[in-house]
Amino acid sequence: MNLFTKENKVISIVRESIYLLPVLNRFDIRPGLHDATIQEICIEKNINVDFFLAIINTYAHQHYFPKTKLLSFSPLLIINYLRKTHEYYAQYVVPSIDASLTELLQSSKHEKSDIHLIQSFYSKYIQEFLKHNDVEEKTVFPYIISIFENPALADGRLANKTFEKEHKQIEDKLHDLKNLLLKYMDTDYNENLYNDFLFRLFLFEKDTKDHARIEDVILFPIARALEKNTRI
Amino acid sequence: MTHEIFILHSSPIIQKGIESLVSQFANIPIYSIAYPSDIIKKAQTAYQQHFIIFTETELTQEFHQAFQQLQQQNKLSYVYILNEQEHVENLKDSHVISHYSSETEISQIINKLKEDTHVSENQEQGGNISRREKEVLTLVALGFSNKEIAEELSISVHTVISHRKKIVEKTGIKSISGLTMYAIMTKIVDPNTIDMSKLI
Repeated sequence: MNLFTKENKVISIVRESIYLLPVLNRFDIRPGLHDATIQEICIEKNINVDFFLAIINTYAHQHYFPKTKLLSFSPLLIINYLRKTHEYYAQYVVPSIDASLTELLQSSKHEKSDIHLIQSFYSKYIQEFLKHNDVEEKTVFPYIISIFENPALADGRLANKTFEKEHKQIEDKLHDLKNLLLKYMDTDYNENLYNDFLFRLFLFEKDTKDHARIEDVILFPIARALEKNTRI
Repeated sequence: MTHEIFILHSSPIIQKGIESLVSQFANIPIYSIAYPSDIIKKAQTAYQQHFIIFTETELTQEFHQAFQQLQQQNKLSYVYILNEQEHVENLKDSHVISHYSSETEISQIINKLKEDTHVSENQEQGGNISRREKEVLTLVALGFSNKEIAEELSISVHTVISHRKKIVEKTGIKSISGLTMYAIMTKIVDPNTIDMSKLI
């Protein structure tokens, strides 16, 4: 496993995996990258280089998760990153998957084909996913920021781990959606459009799993530590 | 599935040596421990974890007894650490290293174990679901709780849970709404008999 370091060129991240490009975008980094190193671009964009490397390496390597390092970052830094990821999902990824599914639906000849069932399931799943993110944006993140700035405001609301459980339930539904598509669907559709829809779901699953992992293992433990310190 | 490594060996030098080598090439939590029961304690709440256990061969019997329960919900792999004089017979399904194994050899063993886990994760048990499982699935799709299903089929709640576990293993579908979808798509239930807006 070769981890990225600050001396590496930014372009090497994209060369290693094109799927890391959206992660770069969340740090406001876009091509043309010329030959800038990670350190140079982080200075230019005022990005914490250690945080950037921790995130990029987490996404790039399935078994790499620098828990101790990530736990040392400010929750404000993490929340800022998570918010950009939510925005990316809501503004770009979900609409693009929606559009892909609409095209796939139009390729089906029958009104009651399996793909229509898939659409019902997908719609409910996405509603649940977006609602979960919305609650985080509107109540959880502001709460964590408030207790970071003023620990006396902590009320212990994160103790019951509701959000981690919700992540698991939402992940299970996406897992099921993929399995239903792969194993049990009839073949009344255009295969290229089907492939496109499935590719998008697979990428979405990988991205959202890493995203949830950062919340579950980093942000919430930091926030709970803040809550606990207050109670003591 | 995430991985954890346990090193169970009577020699602290060997424990430290393996720990040091493994930590150089694998980003997996490593625990050096003195007794099998330490793994049980550590793994009490474990679910769908992969434990790679480095151990001396003479502890095998004790291990298998200690891990019966743990094995139901997790995957255990053993890597046996041999003295040079020891024979490798009776260890056909396991992996073996010696005090003289190179870093590369140990790295290869760990990578192989990790890959095997991926393969098994991607293979559901398959096979058709039984008549009884279909009955349970139909009631799940209709929105019945475990208790209601038990009453309807005159079986215990425990048996219902056991059937549901089997259904999930065989279909690869985990959520209730996903199982409802499965039941409709495989024509086990008629979509007209269920409230789609509520259940999916």
